[in-house]
Amino acid sequence: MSLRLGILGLLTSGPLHGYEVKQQFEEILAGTWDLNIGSVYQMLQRLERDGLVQPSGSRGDRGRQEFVATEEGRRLFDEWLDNPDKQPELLREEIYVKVLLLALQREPDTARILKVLDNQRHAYLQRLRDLADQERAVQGTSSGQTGSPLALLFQAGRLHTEASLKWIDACVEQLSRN
Amino acid sequence: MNAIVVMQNVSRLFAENSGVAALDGISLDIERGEFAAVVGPSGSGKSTLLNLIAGLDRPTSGRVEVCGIDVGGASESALAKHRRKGVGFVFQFFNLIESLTVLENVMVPAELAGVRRGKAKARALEQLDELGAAELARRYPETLSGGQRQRVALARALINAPDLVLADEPTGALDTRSGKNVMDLLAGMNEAGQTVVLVTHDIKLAASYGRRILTLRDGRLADDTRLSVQRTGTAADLIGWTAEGR
Amino acid sequence: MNTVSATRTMAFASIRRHKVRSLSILFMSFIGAAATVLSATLLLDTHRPWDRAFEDAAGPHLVLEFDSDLVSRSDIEATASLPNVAALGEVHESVLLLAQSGEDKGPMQVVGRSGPGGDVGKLSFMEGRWPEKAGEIAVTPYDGWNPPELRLGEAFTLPTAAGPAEFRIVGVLIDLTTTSVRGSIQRGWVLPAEMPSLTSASAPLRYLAGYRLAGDVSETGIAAARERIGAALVPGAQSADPLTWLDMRSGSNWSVAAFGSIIYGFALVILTAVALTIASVIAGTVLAGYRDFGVAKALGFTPWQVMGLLVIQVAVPAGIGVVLGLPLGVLAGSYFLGESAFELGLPESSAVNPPLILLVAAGFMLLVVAAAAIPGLRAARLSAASAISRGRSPSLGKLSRRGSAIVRMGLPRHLGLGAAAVVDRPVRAMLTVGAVAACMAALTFASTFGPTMDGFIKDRATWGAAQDVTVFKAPGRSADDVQALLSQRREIDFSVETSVASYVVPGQVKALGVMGVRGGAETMGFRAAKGRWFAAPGEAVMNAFTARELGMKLGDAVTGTVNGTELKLTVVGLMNDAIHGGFRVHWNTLAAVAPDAQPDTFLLRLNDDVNAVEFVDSINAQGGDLLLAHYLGYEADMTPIDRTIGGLSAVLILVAVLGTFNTTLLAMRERLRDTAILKTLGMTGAQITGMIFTFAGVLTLAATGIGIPLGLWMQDRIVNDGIGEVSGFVVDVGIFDVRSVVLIVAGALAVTLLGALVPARRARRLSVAAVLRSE
Repeated sequence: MSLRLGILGLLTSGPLHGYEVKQQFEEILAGTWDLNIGSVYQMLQRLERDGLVQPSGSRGDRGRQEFVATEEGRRLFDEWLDNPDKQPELLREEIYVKVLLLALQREPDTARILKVLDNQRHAYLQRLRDLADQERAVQGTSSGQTGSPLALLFQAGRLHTEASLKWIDACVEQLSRN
Repeated sequence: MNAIVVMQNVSRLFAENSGVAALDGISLDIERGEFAAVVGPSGSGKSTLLNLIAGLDRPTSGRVEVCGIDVGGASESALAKHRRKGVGFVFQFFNLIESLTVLENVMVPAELAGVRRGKAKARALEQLDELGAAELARRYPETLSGGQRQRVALARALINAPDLVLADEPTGALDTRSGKNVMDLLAGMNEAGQTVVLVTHDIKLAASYGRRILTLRDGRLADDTRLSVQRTGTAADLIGWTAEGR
Repeated sequence: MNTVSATRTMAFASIRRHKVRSLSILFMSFIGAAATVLSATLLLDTHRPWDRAFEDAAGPHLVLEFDSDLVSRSDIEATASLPNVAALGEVHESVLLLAQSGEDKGPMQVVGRSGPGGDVGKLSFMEGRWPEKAGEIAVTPYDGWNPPELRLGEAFTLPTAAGPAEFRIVGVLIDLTTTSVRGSIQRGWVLPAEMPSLTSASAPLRYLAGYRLAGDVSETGIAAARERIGAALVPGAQSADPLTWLDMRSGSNWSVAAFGSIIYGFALVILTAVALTIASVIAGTVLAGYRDFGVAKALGFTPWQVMGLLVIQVAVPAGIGVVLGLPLGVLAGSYFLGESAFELGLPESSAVNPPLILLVAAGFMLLVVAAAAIPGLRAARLSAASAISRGRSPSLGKLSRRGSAIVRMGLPRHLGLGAAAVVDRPVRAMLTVGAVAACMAALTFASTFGPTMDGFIKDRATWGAAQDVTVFKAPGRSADDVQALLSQRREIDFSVETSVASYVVPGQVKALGVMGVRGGAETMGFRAAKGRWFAAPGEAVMNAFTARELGMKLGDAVTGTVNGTELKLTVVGLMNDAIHGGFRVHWNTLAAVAPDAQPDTFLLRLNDDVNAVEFVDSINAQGGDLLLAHYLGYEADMTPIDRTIGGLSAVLILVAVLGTFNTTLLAMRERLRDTAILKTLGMTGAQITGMIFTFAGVLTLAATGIGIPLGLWMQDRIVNDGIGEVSGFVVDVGIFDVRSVVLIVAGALAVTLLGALVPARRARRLSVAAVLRSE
């Protein structure tokens, strides 16, 4: 979903070739992503089919066709921007389900739950490390600087992980008390 | 074994005759060249642990050995010597002496160790230079920004080439950018071989820079994790943009 | 909760929280109030003490002695109704007798009196009681000089018609009329019934009458009164020179001036030191409490309420301290008054003077409140935030930074920090230095005074007693006989002979004396304290006291008459003459106007191997009633004054130590954070101690630097100017020996050490973690 809107968003600023779209994405993500050009074209086709983008300039060789957002596309994009994320917070991490399942057993195995939580904690810590390492690596390249959008992204990652770590601590405390 | 800090079943009661323990049965080793982070909520015993490593406090029971010194049994002057030469401190609120210039502040540990004034001065300038703070030498701490002050504090901590650098919430009073600068400096030192022990309540900070995470909870060592360099995942993974473009 | 009780509650909470501070103020106020009461009592006592004693005793302005053959008692009593006579005391019978105790004998004026009280001329007891029966006698205190040496409980004999009669001393009293410029006389009182047996042809009865005058009591007024009295009675009724109260006052001047000025000086210094110390303690306390004011303001207290907070916090402990300290001060005052009374030779005055005590208490509290309010005003005007931030660490202006840097130069870092801490708070430092300097000045004075006065007392020649033995020729006997006796004694090295004649100076009511001196006086050691000994005819060495009284100085000339013949004298030298009240001249100068003059006193210098006491006894035995020999064994007893000075010095050291202690403690607390940081960085306990001692040391050093010169100046002023001005004493000051220097240095070290001990200990035991974590 977001890739669709991501490409649309890029095309609201001006016409771009498919190849340029791929390039721009890779720049934003500081070369950490190798986007498949096929996927880009596929997405462009779908967007055109939905009337959100249109070719710009002369139609010719597919590879060099520029696309730009339509009025409709622009409107949709703006609407999407202005509407806050109304979806309920999705706790995608599997740990929540694991704990839930273990805790709902008739005679919950506290030791087991703690072990599971402990493992996850290690994983989270490692994730924090990785995020930090990645960010450092990104800064090594010319486009990286603190305050850049990418840095904010990493910060988001860290904060989310921290939140999860806090939750684990809370669980452990709860369990220790019982 | 290349351990700088060895703690065996260390306990420290809050007051000599109270039953409440600030630290309870801690056993851990910190090796030379490590970047260890001690995390935990307030009241978990982080500061007590720090004080023991620094030789500012003695354990009620158990053995604390730092740089070969038995903290429990050493004399006050031996501990003072340890604090001069064995350990370098960085604090949250910098703790610079307001009535001395930056240069004089950095010189203090050297002078306390008996280094002649001229030599201490040279060393201090060198140290400041290494940290990119040489132009601050003649100024007074009052006039510096937080980040600058912390850098001076770092220079002070390093001047006697200590075995161990202890950082207690070093970024707590700094803005994000200055904080990052200071932590990067610490990371840099660690890469050059300096052992660093970071104490913080910010797990993000601890895990971002530390290789070894020691978690304290209610005075006990709840966790001891070594982190590796994995670099799993990319920025794109964060926002769920896989290579397939879904 | 209304604002008044809110302020009060917060203030009391603050007092409880800052226990050390409150206790410190309490203790300082306790000591300070005691010391202030002590000083004030002493100041009052040494301010014209003789005059007060005189008024208390309803002393006689004029004492006349009458020949009992020429006037009767009722004649004398009739003069009480003359104009200007406010009161006439009881007319007493008196007779001059030779008292003898063993070989020791000397003249004593024995007076018949029924009791020590009366309208005029009250006596006060030093010890013992009034005679109750025959054979009992009360005497004036032994002046340490004139024989015989008499003490309570001892007995001596007086010649009566029936032979020598023994009298036992049952009381010792102070009689202001017995000491005058002419010297002091030994007086004894017996019951009036005893007088007839003591009177004889060779010891004629006299009447003593003491007059209290109204109106003009100056020399002229008294002279006029005397004229009137004389006119009311038979001519020639007066058998001796009149004694005026001015003579009496001058006579006691030297001891009063000497010791009175010293105590006065000390009392002033104590007051100054206490005031400065209290001010510095309190001001320092206020400055240390800035953070609290900030918090108070943040809570909503108005500036006035903050002031109120401050004043209460200080005034309550101070008030308690004052209440406790006043009784101590009164006790101390009584002790010292007793000591000083002994020194001054005056009756002891009561130490409990309620108006004074209340005044002191009020003044002290006023000082405390002012010392709190003035810095408090500043605190009150600050905004909450700046007060809190100022309280966190002393903010350093450019000036104190530079001063700090200068002070630190050259010192090892940790000591330098200690020294720099002095400059941090200049006002407090100055107050403390001032207080300690005052104390050091007094200590300097105390330790140099002893040797100075010692040397002075020992320099007997300048006060007229260079000889070893004095031989007095008995009145009416031949000087040749005495000379003949003396010439045979091989123990005598050489002698100086003197003769005194009455020298009447126009315009002066009383006659002075002129003493002709024959023999090698200068060889014997006689010399002038100022100027030189006489050489040419007409030159005289004058009694310095008398010179002062008559307003004369070196170089002045005076013309008087001896037996009607004119004699002009030029003053070439001044002596602190304790023996003779007038002029000493060459024999020839006297002989020129009194050719028949015969020596009446022989001053002997003995050979080195002679035992003077044995010699005196032997000469007295040999001479019988031809002469009376007296050994000059007088050694001034400096113990009481030394004790007084010692006691007052102890008080001063205490005040100085407290001042230093308090300032050091406050400074240490302010620099708690820095000390903790340094500890973290590895400063050893010894280095911490060094830092704090350096702080105290710098203060004390500065104080000593000011105090010692001040003390020497004080000594110069008190001894030279004070005593000299008042009494004409001429003293050569400036004896500053090794012992004194050692004492002063020791005193300074004591102040530093004691003042810094406790703060240093606290700093060493500082819990680093607590200080560094909380901000």
